[in-house]
Amino acid sequence: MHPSDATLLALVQGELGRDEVAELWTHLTQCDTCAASAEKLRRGDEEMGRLLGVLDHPLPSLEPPMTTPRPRPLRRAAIAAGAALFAAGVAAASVPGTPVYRWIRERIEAQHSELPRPARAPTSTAPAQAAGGIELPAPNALIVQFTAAQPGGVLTVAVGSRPVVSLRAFGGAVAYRVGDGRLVVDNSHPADHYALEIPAGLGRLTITAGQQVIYRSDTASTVRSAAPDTISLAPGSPR
Amino acid sequence: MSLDSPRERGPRLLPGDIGPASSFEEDFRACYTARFPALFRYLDRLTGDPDLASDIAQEAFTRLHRRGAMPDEPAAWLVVVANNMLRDERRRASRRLRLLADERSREPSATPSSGPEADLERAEQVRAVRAALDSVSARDRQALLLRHSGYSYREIAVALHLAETSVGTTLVRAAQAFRRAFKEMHGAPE
Repeated sequence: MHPSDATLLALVQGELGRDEVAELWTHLTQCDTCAASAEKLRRGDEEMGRLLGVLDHPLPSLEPPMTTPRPRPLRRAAIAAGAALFAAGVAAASVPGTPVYRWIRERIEAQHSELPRPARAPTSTAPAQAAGGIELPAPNALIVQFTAAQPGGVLTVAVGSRPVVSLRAFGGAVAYRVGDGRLVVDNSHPADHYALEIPAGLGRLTITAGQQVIYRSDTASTVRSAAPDTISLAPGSPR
Repeated sequence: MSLDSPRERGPRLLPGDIGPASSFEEDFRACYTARFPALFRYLDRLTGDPDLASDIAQEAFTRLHRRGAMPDEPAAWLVVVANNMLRDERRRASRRLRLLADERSREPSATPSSGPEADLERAEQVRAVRAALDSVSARDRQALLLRHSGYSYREIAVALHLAETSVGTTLVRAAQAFRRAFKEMHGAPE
């Protein structure tokens, strides 16, 4: 069965899962017609990206909207509408002590407050997350840093066919932070186990849990040929 | 034959990811850093107006911040909000956008000038690309621009209310229509 152009496009755009990719590769090595179609789609996709790129303007500075709100045309109308509503509310309920007066006062104080919102405290009733994770383009060298050693915690590592790094957490609620060549996994609310997928071309991989290095490889060949399949996140278990 | 790497894009959060261990503020800042460039790029290419694109992108993130909780698919949510705002803005300011449409093709590109002939050629290419995009249906145009701004099939499906399995078909069709129109206007691409 020959794959459709849509399937081949998904393949060249990195949108297929590992099993689908493996199956398609097998077919493409045996079918010159489909292999030629895939190559044509790949070149076309590349050309499309180049053509659309001529439309680009410089990216504005990355300034989160809540830090320096600057009135702009779209917001002026919103601000004017909000001001009108506010004036109506004040006129309608200007008697101190009434519920509406208190509600309005709370809104004013919230808008003008410069205190950062407190972080939500974790609760014991928080539901366990299903398989959640993070995926990012693979750097040359990667450090995966678990913020805490985790007795009984297990990390499985697999080498995938896509040029991305993917980490999934099963049965828990973890949070992630991404830095330059670093993936920080906040496992203070730990998952049962974790699955890390790395590309074959990854040059260096270091995994830490708490303050301890639990895995390190310094060469691409080591990562490719001898990637550990299971690593314990328990304290005192380096490899 | 080799597969190219996917075009560079930021980290992508997968479903079920954000748990009570992180605060909304941290999640929001991470989302903003990771996704603002892609949203701006999509809107800039869609409208040809970087100021409007920046306004709408910023406003979309402002609304996300006001929401106080991350939606399941933040990137797609932002696109839906941005598309709705763009539609509303166009209804309100149709005359202004007609003037902008005339101006778009004469706007300088982001690359530095390499001479009047090169500038002219580039301006022609911008016009041809813009015209080819305009000849594609609105949904196909959005799908094409989202994909080439770094959005995944899943995010495109959620943002445009498509089945994820039909995103590939949509992109193939859109690319074919675009190329056909571009060739007619500008000759075969290199």
